[in-house]
Amino acid sequence: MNWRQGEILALMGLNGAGKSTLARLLAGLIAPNKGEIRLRQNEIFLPWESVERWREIGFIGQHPRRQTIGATVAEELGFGLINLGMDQETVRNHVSQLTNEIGLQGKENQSPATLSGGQRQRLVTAAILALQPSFLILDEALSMLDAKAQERILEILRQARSTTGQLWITHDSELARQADRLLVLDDGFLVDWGNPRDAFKNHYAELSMFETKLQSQGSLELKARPVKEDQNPILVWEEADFISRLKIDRAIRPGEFLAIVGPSGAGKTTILESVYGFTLPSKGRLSVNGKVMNKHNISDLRRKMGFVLQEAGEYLIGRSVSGEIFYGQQKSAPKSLSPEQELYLNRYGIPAHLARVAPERLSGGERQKAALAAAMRTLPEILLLDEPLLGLDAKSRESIQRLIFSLQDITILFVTHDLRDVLGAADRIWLVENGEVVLDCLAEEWSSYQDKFIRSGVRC
Amino acid sequence: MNSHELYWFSDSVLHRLDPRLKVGGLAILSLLLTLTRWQGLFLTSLALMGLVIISNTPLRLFRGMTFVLLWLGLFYGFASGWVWGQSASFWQGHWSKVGLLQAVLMLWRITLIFGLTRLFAAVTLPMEQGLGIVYYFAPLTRLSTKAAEFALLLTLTLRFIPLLGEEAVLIWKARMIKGNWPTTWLRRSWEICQLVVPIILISLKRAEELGETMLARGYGSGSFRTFLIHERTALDRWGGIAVGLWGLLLLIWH
Repeated sequence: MNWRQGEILALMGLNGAGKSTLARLLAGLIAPNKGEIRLRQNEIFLPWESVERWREIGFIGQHPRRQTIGATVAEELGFGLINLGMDQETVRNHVSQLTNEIGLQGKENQSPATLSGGQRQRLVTAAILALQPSFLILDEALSMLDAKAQERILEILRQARSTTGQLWITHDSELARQADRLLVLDDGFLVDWGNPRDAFKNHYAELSMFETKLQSQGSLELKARPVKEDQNPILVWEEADFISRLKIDRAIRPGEFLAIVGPSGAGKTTILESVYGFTLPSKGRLSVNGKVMNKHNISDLRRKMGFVLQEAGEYLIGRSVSGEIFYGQQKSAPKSLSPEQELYLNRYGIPAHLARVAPERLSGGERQKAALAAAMRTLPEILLLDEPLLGLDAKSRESIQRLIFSLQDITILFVTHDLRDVLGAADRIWLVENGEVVLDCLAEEWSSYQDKFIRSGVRC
Repeated sequence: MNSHELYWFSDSVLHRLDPRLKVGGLAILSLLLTLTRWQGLFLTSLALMGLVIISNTPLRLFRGMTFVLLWLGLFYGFASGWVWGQSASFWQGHWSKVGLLQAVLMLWRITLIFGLTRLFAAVTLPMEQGLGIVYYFAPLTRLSTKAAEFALLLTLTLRFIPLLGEEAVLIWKARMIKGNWPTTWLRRSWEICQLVVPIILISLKRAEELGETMLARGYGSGSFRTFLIHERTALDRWGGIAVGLWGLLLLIWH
């Protein structure tokens, strides 16, 4: 492959295709077994090993939390500049200018931990771009952000476009369309599709697997979820206040599919954590099935719930896939699965031969399926899903969506910042902003509030 | 959320001071407190009370010291206040006024050092504490590359500890959502041991990510440069003068 300064490449591929490996090769974090990478500078080809790669190529990963290294915003921005050999005075001036450019003025002495995910990713992007690299790799760097935060980072990237070659690794076909060239990695092999807009138009059959599909059409038949209108609510928050992170006064009926949307840091995850009892209200109360939740009955109430954490695939604690799903059921690792267990794995699209494999060896989609299967093992009445489709390719997203949408007789709370993930399956939508539910509407009525969702950074 | 571990969230003058000044000030004052007489201790007590008020930290933060000080008081009270002859038994001794006074002064010194340290921890973020310490290692890097390695190690560790804490909480949550949390202590201990492997695996992964992030920004082993770029303000200069005067008085009364 070749890559020019000023050119934006979009790199797509299914989970496990080798996208991150390519990014790490280019960034010089790993070396190729065969072949070489060369940098052309003033018509001279330089071997990649002889170049100060950190000056030539910047790398921004997916998770904002894991990429900040400074104790304060100013240190984060100045870290690379100091390593460039600039004196403290110049660094201070640069930092002051950069904080203004990224809208973080006045927060120079604040810890990055106090910033929202979007602000943090903006900070990391600016810190890398401050080093003026010739090339920049974004490894799904925008996938965890809401639409507003994503747009602000894209604005910074557009400004740097004339001097920087950019590689956007993404599962988002809409983002890929904004690039100059589309590359697709298929099982380790790279295919250049040229202009992405033309490619998606002229080769739709080959590229449709990367297209984010609206599930509304496909899942309409699954919409026959019985909401038990005549029954008492299964979850009731009564003027509940969770240490000022969330204030809520709402109820959910049994069997309801609730979509919880809103910008990053709005309090969506706190709603799920409150249901599971990870956080108890400092004021007001939460009742589950008519029982007021307190520290004495949390364990009992939790037995009726399943929870899929955000990035659940990263936090699988079983030694094998079957160990993860049937955690605590198997005293010692059995040589083979029982027919019931095999059937259960099949239901969640996990082939039996993966049962003995360590979770780290699975692809992103397989891990997410394992997390969902583990959460559903105890037949919960309430299922809590925190961004279950995050970081998955279109194919894995579709299969997990189908699994979730086919669940019957379960109350589902589904957190996302992409409304398209749940349209067609959700009964009701909550829009959460600054720790409060600011909109509660029926899913059918979502288009009447579309402006409100867009203003809040929700993709729809 | 008002506190995080030992840190107390506020925007007081003390919170805003340069961490280098706070680290250096604490080290020098603690050293001088071991030398100074009662006048110095009295001045420091007044100054500490003033600083606690300025820093907006509640007194309950210092409550944890009481138990330790009580035991230290008993120890020093007996060690220097109780006198007995060379060939006599312990119970044949008597209390000494001078010895007790010595014990009081010693306990006073220790209380002040503990108090200052607790206040320092309440107004300085853990990462800033580390950076302040690392800063004083910087000149040593000219003498030996080992100092640079140590400073790099310290920086990495300090950056890593909070991250590791967050990951441990997530692993804990991942375990809790599996249910079947045992009721006996023995089984619980076993369950916690089971979590060690995933925590180690995730730590290694995060450590690698952190190392790569630092390398990607040009942070090279052996070429240590502290990345503390806190701009010294007029407040820091006044703080420096105050610590200097304070230290000078402690030295005069030694």
